[in-house]
Amino acid sequence: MKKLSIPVIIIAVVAVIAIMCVSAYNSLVSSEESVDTAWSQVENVYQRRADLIPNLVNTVKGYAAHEKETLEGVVSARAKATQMTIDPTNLTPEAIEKFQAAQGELGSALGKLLAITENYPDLKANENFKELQAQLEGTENRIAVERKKFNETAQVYNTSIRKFPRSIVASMFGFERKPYFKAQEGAEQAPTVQF
Amino acid sequence: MTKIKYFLAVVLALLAALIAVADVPEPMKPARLVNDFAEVFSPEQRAVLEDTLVRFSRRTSNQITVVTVADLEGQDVSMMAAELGEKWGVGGSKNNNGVVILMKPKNDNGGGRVAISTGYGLEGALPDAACKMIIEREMIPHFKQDDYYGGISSALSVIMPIAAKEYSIDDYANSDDDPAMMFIALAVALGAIILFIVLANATGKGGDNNDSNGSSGGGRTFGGPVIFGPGIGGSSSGFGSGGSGFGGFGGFGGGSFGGGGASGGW
Repeated sequence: MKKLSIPVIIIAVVAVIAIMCVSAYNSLVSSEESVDTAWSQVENVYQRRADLIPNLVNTVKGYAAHEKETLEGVVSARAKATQMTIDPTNLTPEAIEKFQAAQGELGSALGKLLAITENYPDLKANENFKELQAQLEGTENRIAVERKKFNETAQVYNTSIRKFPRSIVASMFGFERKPYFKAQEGAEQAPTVQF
Repeated sequence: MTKIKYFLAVVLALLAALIAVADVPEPMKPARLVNDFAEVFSPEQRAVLEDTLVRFSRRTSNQITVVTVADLEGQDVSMMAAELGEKWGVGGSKNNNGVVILMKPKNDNGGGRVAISTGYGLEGALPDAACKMIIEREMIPHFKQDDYYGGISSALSVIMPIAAKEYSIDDYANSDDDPAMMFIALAVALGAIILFIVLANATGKGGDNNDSNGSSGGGRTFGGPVIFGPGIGGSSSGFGSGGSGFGGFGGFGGGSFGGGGASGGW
């Protein structure tokens, strides 16, 4: 009996460690998965904003065609911003910074466009424009929410890969830290749509 | 030195994060759908609104909550509404069919602000432009007269029929996947406990000289569920899904919010 007990103990310990590793690995995988999901939500809402722009630009053109510079600024910033997409597996600090910069540029171009619309009362009374403005406002809010959610999810993940004993599993299987969105600075402040 | 500075910076950042989180008020207890923190409704009005919303949530599974606050503490009203919806878990966790109506009356803290925030599942039924229209047509004209009840109830009379079309009671019947998950978690935990008891017994039989093994084995029987805990229960489904059907409102269902909706001021 005594001889049997030692192998049993070893098996039990190994089993426990194996279970712990598997469970740690699985939870890291699902944690990373939720960061990826949060990231695609971020891209979705930015895309949603980009999708609103052609319609917005056309509507504004109808009333303020001579504001060419501002309108073109929005169009080119949109083109740049929509080119920037990041595969969630390549979420590096540099990539996220570039993405944020491109989107920030579009945000400020949009802000300028909305500022000049203040000078066109007919445009502001246009039903289509009002609706677009409401959609844009909602989309900016969605962007703020999804960015925040992404940061929160990334933080949970980043904490979990640093906690013992998961940190061992994390370094063994190459789970890396995820970058965050930086707090909004003046240049990329969401355009405030006031009514 | 730099390490200390770094540490301090981290502590400060954490504190700031805590403070930022604290800005969303906790829901009133017991859970209810009308959380009138700013006390703009009379007790009768509150009761009527609560009753309307509880009935509506029973009938359609959509949870609409009306929240009033005296101060937004510098936050954007639509952001706060979305965060509040997410933190409280308004709406079901599967359909995300919650709506938050957050209103700050005009007072010493500044002008009046109102937001309608839609859960992910109701973004289609209540698009941003529709929310904007409801705010401008139904709410603000009343709010300007300090008729908060009138504004809220006329907005609800528009929102409820729209939201009801999106989800019916049939969806609700199939929406609750939590019991199944709970059962699986329980079964796995039980399995682990049994496994460890068996193993502990097997090792315990090994003789008198290894008392320590016996006790550490015993420790692991409690350790079992903990090991599995983070793997299964870690998905922070969050705010109480419990307490269904105690007379009034049974509690929020864990719905999620993405910032859809609209806001306005007067």
